[in-house]
Amino acid sequence: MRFPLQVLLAFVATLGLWSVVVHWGEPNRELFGQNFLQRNVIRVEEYLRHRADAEVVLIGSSISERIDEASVGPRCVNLGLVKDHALTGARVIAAGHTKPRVLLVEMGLTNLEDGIGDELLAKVFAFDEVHLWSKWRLFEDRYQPSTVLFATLKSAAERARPPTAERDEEGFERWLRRTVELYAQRPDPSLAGDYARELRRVLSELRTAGVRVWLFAPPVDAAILATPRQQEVSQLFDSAFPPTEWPRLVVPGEYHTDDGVHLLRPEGKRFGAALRSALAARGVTQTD
Amino acid sequence: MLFNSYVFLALLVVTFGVYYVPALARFQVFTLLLASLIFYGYTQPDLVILLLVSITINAGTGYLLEYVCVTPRTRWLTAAAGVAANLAILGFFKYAALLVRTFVPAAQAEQGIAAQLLHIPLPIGISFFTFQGISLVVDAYRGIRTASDDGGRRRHLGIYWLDIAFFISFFPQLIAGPIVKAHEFLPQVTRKFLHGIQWNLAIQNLILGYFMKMVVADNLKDQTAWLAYPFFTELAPPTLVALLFGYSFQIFADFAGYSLIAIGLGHLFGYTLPMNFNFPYIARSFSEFWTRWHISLSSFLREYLYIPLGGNRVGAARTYLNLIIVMGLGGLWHGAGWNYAVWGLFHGGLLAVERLLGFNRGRTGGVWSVFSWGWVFLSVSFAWLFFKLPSVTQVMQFCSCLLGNGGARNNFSVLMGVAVFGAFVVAYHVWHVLPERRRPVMLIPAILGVLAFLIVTNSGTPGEFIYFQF
Repeated sequence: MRFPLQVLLAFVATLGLWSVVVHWGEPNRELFGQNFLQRNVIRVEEYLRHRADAEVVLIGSSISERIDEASVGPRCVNLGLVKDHALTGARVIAAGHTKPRVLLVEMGLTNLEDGIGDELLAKVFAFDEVHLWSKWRLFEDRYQPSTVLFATLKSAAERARPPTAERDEEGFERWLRRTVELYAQRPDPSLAGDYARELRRVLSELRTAGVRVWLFAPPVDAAILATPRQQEVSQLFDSAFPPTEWPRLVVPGEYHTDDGVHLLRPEGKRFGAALRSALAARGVTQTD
Repeated sequence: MLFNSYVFLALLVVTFGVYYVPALARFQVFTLLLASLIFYGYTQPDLVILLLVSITINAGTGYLLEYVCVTPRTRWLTAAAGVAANLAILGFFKYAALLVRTFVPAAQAEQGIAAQLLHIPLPIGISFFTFQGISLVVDAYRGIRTASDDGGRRRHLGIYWLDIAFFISFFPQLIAGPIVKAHEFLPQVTRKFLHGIQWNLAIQNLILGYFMKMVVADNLKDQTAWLAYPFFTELAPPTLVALLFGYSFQIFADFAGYSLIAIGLGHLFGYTLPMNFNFPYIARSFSEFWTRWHISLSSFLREYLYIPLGGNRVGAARTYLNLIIVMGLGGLWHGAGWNYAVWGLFHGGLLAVERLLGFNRGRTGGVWSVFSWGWVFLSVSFAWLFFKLPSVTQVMQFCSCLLGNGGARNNFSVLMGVAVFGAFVVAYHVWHVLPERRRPVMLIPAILGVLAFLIVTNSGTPGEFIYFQF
C-alpha cells in the first residue's frame, strides 16, 4: 500500500499549498474566466459569496456587462451575463438568501435560443456546491489554477499593450453591419413571449420581497434602433411590463459602442455614472 | 449514469462492498450484473429491456453453438441468424432515421411509419453491446474456447445466460467500450478476492482517466464550442487552427479518459480490460495510427470484417477496396450520419494511398519521421472536422475561413485554452516517447497526486462523453 499512500500525500500537500496561495496571495483579482460560462459563474459566485449585501444589482446580458459597476455605486453589483439574459440574473437573486434594495433590469431579447443560463444555475446551485465546496475559497471557479494562469497572462498582455479608449472605426463599421444583420431577424415570438412572462413572474416575486425594480434600455447605436428585433423589444416590454406598473430608468445621452450594442469600456464607466445620477434623482443613494 | 457523478460513486462504493463480502462470494457475477443494469437503466429504465433482449438473443445463440449444434450447416445457420439479429437491432435503432432522411422526401418524412422511424430514440451504448454480442456469436461459431476452466458449469443454461449477461453488460465498458471480445473476457469470470486487486494499476488508470476527462476534455469542450457554425466564421485563422488541434486533443482526452476509467474500474473488480489507446498521436503512418487509436474497435473490424473480406491476401486492388469498405463502415458505426461515413472513407482512402505508395511500413530517419508524424497528425486532426461539424458543407465553410477570414478576430481564451490543456495531451505522449531510462519514474506518485489535485480544483463543466452518442 506504499504507492497509494505516496499519491495521497502528494495530493494533500498540493491542495494545502494551493490553499495557502489562494488565502494569502489572492492570485486572481479580476473577474476573469476561461470561457463565457466560467466568466458568468465567477461573477455569480462573487455576488453570492462575497457581495450578497449589495444594495443595487444590475441584471442583463453581455450588453449590460459592459457597464462599470463601480461607477454606478460602491455597493452595486453587475450581473450582466455573457451569452445570456436578465432572467438568469433574476433567478440568481430570487434563489439567494439576501435581496438587494434596487434591481436594474436590462430590456432586451438576446440569447433566447442558445442561452447558457440553465447550465450556470445548475452549477452554482448544485447541492455539493452550496453545501460543501462553497465553504472554501479554494474551490471558487476564479481560483482554478488554469483560470489564475489565464488571468495572469491576460493582464500581462494588457500591461504590455493597454486597450485604447479610441474606437477602431473600420472594425466598428464591419461589426455594426453584422449586428444590424443579426438584429434584422425578429426573435421567435413564442420564445420571446415565454421569456417575458417568466421574467415578469420572477420580478413580481422579487417586488413582493421588497425589491424596487427599474427597467432600463442600454444605449445602442442609431442604426440598431430601427431594426426589427429592437422594435420587438420595445413592443414586447411595453405590453408585458406597462410603464405605469413597471417604472423605467431613462438615461439620456450618446454613447459609443464597438459593434452597435456593446459599450466601449470607458463608455461603460460614463453610462454607469449616468445611471448613478438617475438613481440619485429618484432618491436612491448607496452607503459607502 | 456518468462516471463523474455522485450517483455513480455511491453505486460503485456499494457494489464494491457487497462484491468482496466473503459470504456473498458466490453472487459476485450477479452483483456486478445487477449494478450494471442499474447503471444502464438509471436515466431510462425502459432501455434495460432492449439490453436484456440483446443479451438473451446472444446467450441463446452462443449456447446453441457451444453445446447443441453439431453439423456445420446448422452451426453456420445459427451463427448467421445471431449476427443478423444483432445487426438488425443496431440497424433499426441506429440507422432507420438516417435511411428515412436520405430516401424519403422531406414532405412525406413526417407522416406515417416514416415519422415513427425518424423519431426512434438511440439507445445509449447500442453500438458497443451489439458488437460484443457479435463477438460472442462468432467466437462460439469458430469454436474458440470462451469458458474458464470451470468444470463445465456453463453447460447449465441459466449460468450460461448469467455469464453472458455479465460479459455484455459489465458496467465499466458497457456504454463506450473498450469493446471486449468474448474469448478475452469470459475466461476471466472466476471468483475474485480483495487481496487480488492490482491497486497500483487501478489507481493509476482511474486518476489519469478522470484527469483526462474532467480536466482536459471538459475544459477543452468549452473552448471548442466555437467550432460550430456560425461561430467559427467570426474567428481569425490562427484561432481556427487552434480549434482544430483543440478538438483533436479533446476527443482523445475524452475517449482515452473514459477507457482508462473503465480499465481502472475493471481492476477494482478483478477484471483486465484491453488497452484502447496506445499514444495514437505519435503515429507516423495511418496504418500505425489505427493500431493505436480505439484499438478494441480496429481489432474488432480487422478480425470480424477485414480478414473475412480477404484482408490483404486478395491482390492489391481488392486490398485497397477492403480498406475503404471497412473504414467506411467503421465511420458509419460511429454515427448515423453521412458525415461519419465521409470521415471513415477519408481514412480508408488515406490508408489505401499510403499502402499504394509503400509508406505504411513506418520509415524511420530524423527529418522523414518528423514530416510523416506531422502529416499524419494534421490529416487526422482535419478529419475530425467531419466528426464535429454536421455536414460536409460546413466543413468546406470552415476550410474557406481557414484560408482567409478578413477582419475576423483571434480569441485569446481559445488560444490559451488549447495551449494549456493541449499541453497535457502532448506531455502524455512525450512521456511515452522518452526512452525508459530517462523517464522520471520516481515522480509518478507525485505526478498522480498533482493530477488528483487538479481533478478536484480544475475540472471543467461536466459534459457527456463524446462516444456516448455512438
